[in-house]
Amino acid sequence: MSDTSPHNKESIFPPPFVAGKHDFHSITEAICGVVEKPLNINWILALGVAGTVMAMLFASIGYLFWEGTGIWGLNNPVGWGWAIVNFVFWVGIGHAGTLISAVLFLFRQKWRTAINRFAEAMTIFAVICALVFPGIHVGRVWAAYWMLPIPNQMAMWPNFRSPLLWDVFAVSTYFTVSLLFWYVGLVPDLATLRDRAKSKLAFWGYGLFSLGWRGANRHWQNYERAYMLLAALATPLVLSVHTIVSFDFAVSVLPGWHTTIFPPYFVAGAIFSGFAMVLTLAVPSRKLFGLEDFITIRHIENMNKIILVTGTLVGYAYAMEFFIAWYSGSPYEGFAFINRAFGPYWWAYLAMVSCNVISPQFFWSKKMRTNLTVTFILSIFVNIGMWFERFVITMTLHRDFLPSSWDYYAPTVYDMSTFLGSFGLFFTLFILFLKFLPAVAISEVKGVMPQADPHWEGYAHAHHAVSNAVSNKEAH
Amino acid sequence: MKSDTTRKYWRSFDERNQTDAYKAEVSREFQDELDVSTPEPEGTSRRGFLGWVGASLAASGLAGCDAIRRPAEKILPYSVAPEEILPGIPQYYASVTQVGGEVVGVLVESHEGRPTKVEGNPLHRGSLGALSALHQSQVLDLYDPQRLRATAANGRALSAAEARALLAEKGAAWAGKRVAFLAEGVPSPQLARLRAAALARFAGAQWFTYESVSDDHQRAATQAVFGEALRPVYGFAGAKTILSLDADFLGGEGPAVAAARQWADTRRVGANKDASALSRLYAVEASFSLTGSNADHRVRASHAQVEAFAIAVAGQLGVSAPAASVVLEDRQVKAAAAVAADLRASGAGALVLAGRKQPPVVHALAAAMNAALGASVRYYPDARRAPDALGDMAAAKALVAALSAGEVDVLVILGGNPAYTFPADAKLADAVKKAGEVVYLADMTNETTAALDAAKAVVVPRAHYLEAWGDLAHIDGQVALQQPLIQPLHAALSELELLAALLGDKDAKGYDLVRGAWKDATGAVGFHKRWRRWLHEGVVDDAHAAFAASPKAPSGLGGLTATAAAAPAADKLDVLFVPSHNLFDGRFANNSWQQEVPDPLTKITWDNAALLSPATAKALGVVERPVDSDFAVDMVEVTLNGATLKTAAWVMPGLADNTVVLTLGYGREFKNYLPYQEGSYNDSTVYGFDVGPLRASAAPFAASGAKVTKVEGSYFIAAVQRYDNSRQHSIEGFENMERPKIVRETTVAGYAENPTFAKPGIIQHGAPMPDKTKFAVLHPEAKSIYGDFDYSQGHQWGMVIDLSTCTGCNACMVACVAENNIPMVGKDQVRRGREMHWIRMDRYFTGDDANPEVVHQPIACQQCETAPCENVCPVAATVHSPEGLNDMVYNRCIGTRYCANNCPLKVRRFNFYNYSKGQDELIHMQRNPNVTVRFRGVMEKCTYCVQRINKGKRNAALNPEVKQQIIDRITPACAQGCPTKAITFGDINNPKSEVAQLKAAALDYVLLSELNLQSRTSFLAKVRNPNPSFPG
Repeated sequence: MSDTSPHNKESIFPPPFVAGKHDFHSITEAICGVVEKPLNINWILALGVAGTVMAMLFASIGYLFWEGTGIWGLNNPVGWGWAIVNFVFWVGIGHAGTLISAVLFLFRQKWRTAINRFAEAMTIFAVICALVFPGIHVGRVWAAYWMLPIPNQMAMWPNFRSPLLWDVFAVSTYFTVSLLFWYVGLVPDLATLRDRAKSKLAFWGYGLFSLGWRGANRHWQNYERAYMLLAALATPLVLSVHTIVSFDFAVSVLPGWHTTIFPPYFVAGAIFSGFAMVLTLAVPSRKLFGLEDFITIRHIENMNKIILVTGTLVGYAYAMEFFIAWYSGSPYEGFAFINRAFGPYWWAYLAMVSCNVISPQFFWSKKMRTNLTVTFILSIFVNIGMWFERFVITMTLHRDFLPSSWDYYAPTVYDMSTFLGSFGLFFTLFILFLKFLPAVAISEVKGVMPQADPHWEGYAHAHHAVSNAVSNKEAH
Repeated sequence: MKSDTTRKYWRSFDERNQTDAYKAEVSREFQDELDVSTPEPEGTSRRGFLGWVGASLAASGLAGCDAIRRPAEKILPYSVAPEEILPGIPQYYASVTQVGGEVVGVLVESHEGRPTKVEGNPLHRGSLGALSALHQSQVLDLYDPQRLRATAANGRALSAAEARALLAEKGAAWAGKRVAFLAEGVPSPQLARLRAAALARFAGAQWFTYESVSDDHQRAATQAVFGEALRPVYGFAGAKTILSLDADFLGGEGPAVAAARQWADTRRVGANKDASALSRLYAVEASFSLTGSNADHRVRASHAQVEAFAIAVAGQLGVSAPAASVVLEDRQVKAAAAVAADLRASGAGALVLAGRKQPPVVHALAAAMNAALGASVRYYPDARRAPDALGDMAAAKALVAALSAGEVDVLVILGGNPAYTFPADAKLADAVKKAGEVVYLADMTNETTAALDAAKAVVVPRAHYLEAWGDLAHIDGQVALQQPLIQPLHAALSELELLAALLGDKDAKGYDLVRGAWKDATGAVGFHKRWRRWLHEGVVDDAHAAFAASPKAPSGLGGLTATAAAAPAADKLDVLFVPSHNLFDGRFANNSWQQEVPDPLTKITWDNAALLSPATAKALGVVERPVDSDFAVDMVEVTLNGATLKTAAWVMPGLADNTVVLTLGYGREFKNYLPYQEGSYNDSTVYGFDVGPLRASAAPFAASGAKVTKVEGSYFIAAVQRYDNSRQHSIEGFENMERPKIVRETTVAGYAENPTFAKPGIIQHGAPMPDKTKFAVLHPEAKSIYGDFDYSQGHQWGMVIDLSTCTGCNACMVACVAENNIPMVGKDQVRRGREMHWIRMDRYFTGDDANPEVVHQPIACQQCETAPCENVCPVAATVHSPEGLNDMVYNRCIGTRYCANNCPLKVRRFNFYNYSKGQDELIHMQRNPNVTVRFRGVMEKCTYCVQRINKGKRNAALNPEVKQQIIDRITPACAQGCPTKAITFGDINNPKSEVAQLKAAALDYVLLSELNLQSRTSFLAKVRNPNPSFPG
């Protein structure tokens, strides 16, 4: 809490990035300690629960493969249901990681260091969850690989005009770059764990993946350069991946889908949902793993500010959609939006607007922004709201041009078990990550501490120390 | 029924037991039927040699395995030379069929000996080249796995030969016994001949003819006014004004296939500039019939008011009419005056039709009015029964009375399912046990077989019409020969063979019976040639068969007086019994095609329901429209004369108030296997409600004094137009969001004033589009962003659908199912919105709930030139052909369903499951080998019957001298099967083609043209012909 920091509320300087009385050693101990402690029963229980839910996902998928897409609630006008909703939902969540890591890195937002590892892991796992869905939702899963441009004797290529194909490229590129970026950032920390390893298995395991890192000056130079390049590579992907996901809808001819606002609106929404998910995970984990000193209220507050901004952007998009629907004079477009708000799925629309537009407005108040309970609850609301946003968009299918083919979509138990199961997959991966990898980037956190400043021991004023901390990190 | 790949089929006991005689027969290398003399090309090429090898293999295979089940007798194809069967080249044979005594000549497509599809025989006056949905569906019955396989007698299964021998034995033992026959109303000259022979043979025998969908009233009326039972044939050709008094002549009453065509010919505008010659149709009815939905003015009236209306019109036409027993409402009085004036003005161009639900006096009035007007109506004898036979209901009662009194020693039931179809006060199920002995010729186990005492009954499998020889007389006497295409799949006998066996001829073959009789009747001189021609053409020369039309004048009303009736009231509702458009009298209950095709007006599949008008439903507290997520409808209990029926209720606009319409034919078990028919929404395979218990012989079509109450419970209904129960539905308060009209219609006057009203850019009748919807103006220069194909070369296929003549009869839907191997998915899947019909029939109501007008619009893939489905498919599984088709490549499809989402007309159909899974192999025999059976996970849609296009192109290439004629004759199944020829298909690059000329017509418009789809299917806007002086 800021009260415990050397700077009280009246200070004109921002609070430090690490709270508590920490030095380099205590940081290493605190973060590596999570990994090195013996298995704790709560963790095993948590993994058991998440693993069971994940098993439900695989059981649902098994039945889906056995029986066909008909086990879902899809019908003729509504060819895409929860599978696509879930795909977009998880891809959206997968945005915050790269944004926090890459974009904030490039903008020298040093506060990111405490949460970037966390957020990147979340990104990777969310994208894994997302990637499950396009693969399983097709009718003939055994031929799903035809979407990939694999040279074949028939000279049969995918259709490069199809947004779904763009999607394949966009999401797989994003996944690859995010994974690399995450891994590169992990290398120094893996070496730390390797060096502290007490068992042979841990030594070899961490040793293999730390790529012979010795912390040499040259290593650090190459590392910094690689990290910066990957950050620069990943930044446009943050924008492109959800832009292209939005093309799945925007490139169609359907009222309610065929809108140019979709790319920015989807990106804003993705960042919105991504940050919400980071908070949903970070608020309890910092408590459970004793990481309050690293993921401080300042981090939480900053993320809440981003949620407020992106939530309001999304709200603007909702309003603008309605305006354009009216302004375009297209009766189909007009009907599609009136139908969204007042048609049979009015409740989904209401859930979407209240969760995404109304609930973030609480964050105008600093009191709310810095309240952990409020943050956690609102982050859940945003997650729900963003799922409903995708649901509302996808369900636009149910009433399009010819009223004779209008229908209603209702999910089946398999839609639900697949969706719920994807959380099982996500949390299983996440729980494993928390136990086996450093959840906070040790080396980066050290770099933003006052001790990292060569002038730290009384040579300079406090503001100096803070502002120079990262730029002088190379010194270590 | 799970498939059983080890199951063996045999056609005789000899075959099953592999007797020596059988082995000798089949060991001959070249059997009689098979002629393998393929004409050899010049020189023996490698290809030719391989052909010979293949043919030899095929022949040797045939000798052992019955792969081709052609009948042993000489039959002749209609248009394709019969001397060879080339694999993949279907052959066509003429035959004839009937449903409820209405006869249509057919051409049957046969693939390697399997009849797969029937089409109309243009030379037959009952068909004129088309079929109804029911006739189309009959081919599926042939392969119904539930058909009886062998004669059951004393717990034994008998082969056909054994059954014949047993029947001959029995027949010989029946001398002196009291024999009763119960037959369906089949207008077969040979059946009539054998009927006479049977009555002569078994002294004192009685012959009852019963059809549940009865024309008793028509018969009673013609008996009264003409002195004999006659059937009217209406001359629509020159008709100007048609008044239908509850007569559903487009929906199945009388020779409906031909009538629809003849009526449509008076309604066709096409490319004509002048629509003033159109006929005008008035319909007066209480229920909502297909005819009513096509009427220019539909006068809603209670059942009794129809009669009063007829009396009112007759009075103004100078026909002496009795006083009506119910009063007409003011609007009806005015309408009657307007109709009478119109009829009078049309003179000989007027026609008055009376429906079978109406009492005899209405038929008599119609006859008198037609006579007074000089209308073109011919009367023919009723060939469906003996001239002195009892009416249907009287026959049912008399038979049951005789059975109950123990006066019947032997009952022979020739087809039908009397235990189900008999009226409630003639319960055959109880009485039939009192018969000493029963011989029942049955299709499958049913209510009647269940009622029989197995120890006393012989149940003989009935041969399908495609398995048996016969002949049938059309209403005007034109006889067509029923030529079989396949040997009986099971040990089945036809009616003729069964009767012949009973009469002692145990070796009688249908072929000999029919051919012999015609030879006797027409003389041996030149008979062989004549016979060949009749088989080839499918019809017998009129000189030998047709009835003489009796130009009779009716003698007044024949003493018929007005029916005593009271207006229905909230506590005394009228009950109308209408035959199902899909299941008829229940005989199609095991036919999945008919179960799944939606009712033309309610759009309900797999079920029936009590139909109530919106006002009546409201008064009863029945929910008008199912809510979105929950398709359970309310249940009602109908009490009539002490009998009660609990049934689902459905609100149907346009019905008369205080009238409940019940549909016959339902409440029977569907016994066939559909892999996904059972689901969470239905746990029973009995679909719908049997309304029979309410149906008394005295009031088989209309009863009054019923009480209807809403009861606890709900019922799931699978209707294909959801949210559209009452009208083109939209969100409350936003109904008027101006969309370009999907269905564009005008009147004759409106057409004269503004012929191009339907063109893109104009969304409402007569008025140009308001500025604010300018987006909808189709810019002629609009292009695809991917560049346009060059459509100036080669054939460019296109289709025009004329909304003026489309009656919404569903024939195209079933023709498409038969042609394209479309899977039936079952009620549960239809409920989930997964029906697979490639062409669907959209139905929209316009106007008020009480008496709306209806438009029917068939929608299949429009084959857009800038198809939205094509660019979104990630694997290029749907691509454009150089001939403008939007081709679906099943092999390539991975099932992302993106194409279906992006289809603005939602015509794509996805195989959510493997809908063909586990079906009996017999069903597979119906499949068209030229069309892939789609597996689960694959998208499908209308292809314009690309297999037919390719066949035509191939034939054209092989026959260059008649190339153009062959190309011009390429017709998709829907267009071919359309009774009214509302669908025109052809090459739009050929300016002389009919389709190109129609596309140039003023009425031509394209759906959703504002999306720049450039659809190849266009519509001709509907032109109604209302009477300007009709009271609004």
